[in-house]
Amino acid sequence: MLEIQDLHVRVDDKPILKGLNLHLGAGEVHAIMGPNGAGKSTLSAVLAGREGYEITSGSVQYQGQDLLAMSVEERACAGVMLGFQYPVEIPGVKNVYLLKAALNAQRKARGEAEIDAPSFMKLVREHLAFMKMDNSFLHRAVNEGFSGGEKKRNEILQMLILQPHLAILDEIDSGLDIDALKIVAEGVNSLRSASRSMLMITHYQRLLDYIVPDHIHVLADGQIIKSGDKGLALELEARGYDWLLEDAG
Amino acid sequence: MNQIERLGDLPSLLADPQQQAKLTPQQAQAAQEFCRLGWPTTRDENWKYADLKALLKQGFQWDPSLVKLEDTQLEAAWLPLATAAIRLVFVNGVFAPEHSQQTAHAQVSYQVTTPAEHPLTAAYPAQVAQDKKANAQAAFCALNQALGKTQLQLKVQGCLDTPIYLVYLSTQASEQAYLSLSQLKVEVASGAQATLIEHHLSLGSPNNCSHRQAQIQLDAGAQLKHYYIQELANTDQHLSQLDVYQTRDSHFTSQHINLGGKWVRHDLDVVLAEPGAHVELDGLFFAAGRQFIDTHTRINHAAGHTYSQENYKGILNAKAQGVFNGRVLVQPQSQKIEAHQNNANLLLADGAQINTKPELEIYADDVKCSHGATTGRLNEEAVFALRSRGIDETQARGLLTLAFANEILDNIEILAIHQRIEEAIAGRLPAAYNLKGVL
Repeated sequence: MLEIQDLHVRVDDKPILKGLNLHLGAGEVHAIMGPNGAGKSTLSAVLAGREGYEITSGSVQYQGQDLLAMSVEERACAGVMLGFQYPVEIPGVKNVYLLKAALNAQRKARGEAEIDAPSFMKLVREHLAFMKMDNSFLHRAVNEGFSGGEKKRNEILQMLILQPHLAILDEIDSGLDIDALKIVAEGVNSLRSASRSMLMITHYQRLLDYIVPDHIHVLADGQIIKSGDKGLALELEARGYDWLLEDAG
Repeated sequence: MNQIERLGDLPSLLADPQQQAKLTPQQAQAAQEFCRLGWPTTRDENWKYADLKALLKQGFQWDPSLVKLEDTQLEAAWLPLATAAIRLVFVNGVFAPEHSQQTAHAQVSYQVTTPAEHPLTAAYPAQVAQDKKANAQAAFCALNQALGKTQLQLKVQGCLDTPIYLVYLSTQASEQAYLSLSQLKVEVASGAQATLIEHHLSLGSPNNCSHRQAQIQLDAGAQLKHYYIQELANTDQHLSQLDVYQTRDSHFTSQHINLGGKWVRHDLDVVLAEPGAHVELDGLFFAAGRQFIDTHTRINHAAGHTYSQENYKGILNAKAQGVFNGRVLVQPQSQKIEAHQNNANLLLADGAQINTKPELEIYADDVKCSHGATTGRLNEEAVFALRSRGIDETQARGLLTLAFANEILDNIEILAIHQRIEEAIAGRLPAAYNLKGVL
C-alpha cells in the first residue's frame, strides 16, 4: 500500500525527516509515536501534499505510484486521506456541500457518474447517525463553532463517506474527552478492512487502547528508531521515550 | 437636441439660451443648475477614485424613438419570479408598456410620467438636519431633470404580498451609444408594506451610460424591502442616486447587489428623520476584468432612537477596482441611536484593488456605534482542506469565494434572486472555477 524509503525532508532549510523508512501493507494499522519535534506532523503533511516542505531525497510509493509527484487533490482522489489534527473552520461552506463536492470529485476521477441526491442523502444520514451527529450538522458551515470533539467526529464522518484506501490520522485523539474518543475510535474501527490501511500519528498511548494497531513505530529526530507490536506502546507508557533515545543515541 | 459627440461638452451646449428655450422653465432651471455645478472631478473628495474622464470623451444619443425590443429577447433576461404584483419594463430608460405586466392592485398605484411634468423636488423637507456631504450626484440629477424623459411614480397603500418588479434594460439602440436618464419616485404610505425589485441588465454588449435617480419616502410605520440587482454587461456604464427618507417607525431594508458594469457609481443616502426609523443596508459587489464599482452610502441619523445596520462585501478579481465609502452621521440631537457598519473585501488577484473608508461623524454622546473594515485573501488553509478531500484547486477557490458572499446571499428571501446571484458569482469566476456540480 505505502512504501516510504529513505525520506529526507527540510522545512525552512532545517532537516526534519532524516532518512525515514516505513512499509504499510494492505489492511494494516500502524501507529507512529514519538516525542515532540520528532517529525510526526511533518510526515503526515508530506504525505498529504502540504506546501512548504522540501523533499531533498527518498521516495514514497503509494499503490505503486509516485505519491510525491501527485497534486493534493490527485492524492485524495487516489484514496489517500488525512484526518487533520486541527480541522480548519470554513465559514459559508456547508458541511453537506463539502461532502457532496468531495464525493463527486472522487467519483469523477474514478470515471463514475455523480451520485444522485436521494442516494447521497441516505448515505450521509446513515453515517451521521453512526457518528452520533444530528442532521443539523449538514447545514452548518464546516467546523464553524464546532467543539473540539465535533470537529474530530466530522473528520471521521468524511472518511466514512469518502472511504479512503489509506487513512492518515494526525493526532485524532487530541482535544477529545473520553466519550468523544470512544465515538471517534468506533468510527475508525468500523473503517478497518483487509483492503484499507491506516497510519495513526499520536502522542499518547491512550488512543491505542481504543484503536489497537498491528504495528507501532517510534519516531525520533527524523527517523524510526524502534518498531514493534502493541506491546511496545505499553512499554513506552511505563518507561517513556528516554531509554529508547539513549539506546539510539 | 438628441445627441452629442462628447458627453463632456454637454454643459457648454446646455448653457446655450437657444437650447434652454426648447425646455420647460423647470427643465431650463435644472439645465442651468447642471451648468453651474459642472462635472465632478477627482479633486472632489466624493469622487476621488471615480474618474469620469473616459466617460466624458464618449458620444451619446438619447432619442427615445429608437428603443424597440422583441418579447422573446426579454423573457430570457428577467428573473423567473414565482409571482409579481406588477412588472414594469424600461428599455434604455424609456417605459415599454408592451413588455410590462400591468395588473391592477388595490394596494399599489403608479403612473409613468416625465420630469418635465413632475419635477422631482428635494428628497426631504428643509427643516430636517442635512448632511453637507450628501448630494454627491447633484450634477447628474440636474441633468436627469433637464433632459430625462421618464419618471415612474409608485405609491403603495396597503400590504402588498407580491413584489413590484422593475426591469431596466440597456440595449444597443443604433450605431451610437445611448444615454438613458430615468427617475423613480416611491411612496409607501403609513403602515403599508411592499417589496420592490429593481433589476438593471443589458442585452448584448452595449456601451451605454445610464443614470437613475430614485427617491423613496416611507411614511410612519411603513416597511419596504428593496432589492437592487445590477448585472449590466461589462461594457456598460451606470450611475445611480438613491435618496431614502424615513419617518417614524418606518423600516427599510436594502439588498444592493452589483455584479456587472464597466464603470459604476452608486450614492445611497438614507435619512432617518424621526424616532423609530430603522434601516438595514446589505451590499455585495463582484468585479472582475477592469471593472470599476464605487459605492458611497450615507446614513443620516437626524433623530434620536433610530437604528442603522450596514454590511457590504466586495469581491475583486483581475484588475478590478472597488470603492466603498460608508458615511454615518449622528446629529447632535440624535441620542439613543444605534449604528453598525461592516465592510469586508476579498481580493482574488494581485492586480485587484479596493479603497474602503468608514466615515463616522458622531455629535451625540448617548449612542451605540460600531464599524469595521477588512480586506483579505482566501484562507489558504481552507483551500488546502478542500483539496485534501479531492476538490480541485479552482473549484475549491470558487466554493470559498461563494462562501464569502453567502453572508449576504443568506438574507435574500426571494429564491429566484438568490439563485440568480449565486450562479452569476459562480459563472463570473474564471472559467475553471467550475461550481456547476455543487450549486
